[in-house]
Parts: sequence; C-alpha cells; structure tokens
Amino acid sequence: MPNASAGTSPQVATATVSATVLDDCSVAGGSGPAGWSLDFGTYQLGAPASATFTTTLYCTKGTIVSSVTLDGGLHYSASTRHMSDGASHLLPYKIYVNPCASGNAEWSGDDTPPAFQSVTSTSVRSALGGAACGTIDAGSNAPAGYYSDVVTLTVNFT
Amino acid sequence: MFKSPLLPMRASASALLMAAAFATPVAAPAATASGTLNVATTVVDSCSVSATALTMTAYSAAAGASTGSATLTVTCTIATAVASIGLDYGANAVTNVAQLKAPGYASLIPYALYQDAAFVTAWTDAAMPAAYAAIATPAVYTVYARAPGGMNVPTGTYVDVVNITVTYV
Repeated sequence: MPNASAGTSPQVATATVSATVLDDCSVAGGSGPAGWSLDFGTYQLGAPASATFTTTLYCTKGTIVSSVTLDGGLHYSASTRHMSDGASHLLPYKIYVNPCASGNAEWSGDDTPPAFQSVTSTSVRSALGGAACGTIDAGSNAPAGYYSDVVTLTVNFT
Repeated sequence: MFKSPLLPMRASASALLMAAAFATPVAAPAATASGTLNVATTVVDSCSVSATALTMTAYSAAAGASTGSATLTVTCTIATAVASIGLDYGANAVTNVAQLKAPGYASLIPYALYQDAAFVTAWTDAAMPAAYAAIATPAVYTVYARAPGGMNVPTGTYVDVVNITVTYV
C-alpha cells in the first residue's frame, strides 16, 4: 500500500484562462467564397435574366446585426448599377432584397433586407441572412462579352 | 526676425492634438464590417424578328394582280454580324412557289414575296435585302407580296404562314 504524501484525493488547483472575444461579422465562412456572388450566367438581348444569390454573414455569438447595405458598385450612373466589359460598354442591372420569386424592392441606399433586420447571432459562428435577387431587363443592348461589377457591402452590428 | 515664423507652426500643431482628442471617444458602440458582392454575366449575340400581318388587296379572276406589304423588324445584339434574313415558301408551297389557301378548299392562289415594290427581286430563304452588320438599333424592312391575277378560285379568305429566319454569327 503506497503511502502518498501529497494529501487526499482529489487534488484541486485552478488555472485561469482568458481571451477577449470581439463581436465580428464577415461574408467569408470557413472554406466558403471570399464574397457573395451574383452570377447571371448568359444574357441575351431578347429575354430578361435573373439570378438568386445567397447572402450569408458569419457572426460571433451575440452579435446583433443592425443593417446590411450595398453601394452602387463600380459603374453606378443615372441611379442604376451597371456591369462593364472593361471596354466602356455598360449593362444595367438591379438587385432586390428578396429572392427572385418574391423580390420587388431594390436593395440600395440605406435598405436592409428583411433577413438581416434585427437578427442576433446565436452560436459561436452563426450563418445569418438568406437570399436576394439580381435582374437584367430584356432589351439591354450591349456587345457580346463578359461583364462584371463589384459591389461593396457594409455590415453594421453591435 | 528668425523666430516669428515658428509661432504659427506651434499653434497649428496644438490644434491638431485637440482634434485627435475629440475624435477618439466617438468610435465606441457599433462596429462595421465590409465585404464584396461580385456580379457577372456573359452577353451572347442574339437576334429577334417580328413582322406585321401582310394583307393583300382583294383578288378576283378578272382583275389584275393582288398585292400587299408588311414590315419586318430585326433586333440584334450590338455588333452582331447578320448573315441573312430569309423567308421560306410558306405552309402550302408547290415546287418552291408559295400558295395562299382557304381552309376547306383545295384551290390555291400562287404568290411570291419580293424585296422591292416593283416586284423584281424575290425575297427567298437565302436572300437578304442589304448588307446587314453591326447594327445597334432595330432594322426595319418592307416585304412586298404579289399574286398574279387569272386564277379562278372559290370565294373565301386565303391565307399562308411564312417563316422568317435570321442567321447571324
């Protein structure tokens, strides 16, 4: 029978571990894309195009998102967002706050989609948000080619 | 003489410090994050075509030719190269001659479509009126129809449907 000199079991000690977690939100989630992507595929003059895209934010637990706004992109003119082919040809398009099937309010200015209004992150890294819609009207006549735009989104949270 | 320029410089330096002191406490409660939304599409060449109804003048065996015209509107993506705008021989053709037909009757009235009001140059599947490339706005053409007189056919409304084919690169 061993004669332990260390005292009775169990032995108790404490170690203090601390870190400060700051509320944060980002559009990139793990191995996900670095940003949101609205890809219309191909567009032909004679028919409108639309595409639903996911609008997911990843936020730390307890973060309250107060607004998510989009700017006018790189080629905003005449109150309209445009894609460019890089050779000064522009193709107008619109972004709506809801998925395409129900989208009727444009996402511009101070507008925040319903999916982001007063939502609170409930887990360590919650995915918030939903989907939104982009459209190109029929009859927008621009030369064939690849057109793109970059819209900056701003997330306000507390 | 030498010291006087230094004084205003000191004054402006202290003003800067005060501005910084006031700015610091403002950025407290809300935080902001930003990201990007990448938008893209590929525009491909396309054309569409429409036509008005072509109604010809009343036809009788005794009278001369029956004629009429219609408007074709072709709209293409900017810089699309259009190779041809063709018209076929319709739904009742007999050996490459278009025919008007009244439902329920066997009788046919032969006719042809032309690019000009003088009925000289036929407008066929392979033909197109003019050089047609790199248009930016809808191009409008007139097509002329003529049915020679002399056919003795029953009274009725004679019709045909002609297909329009726009070929582009």
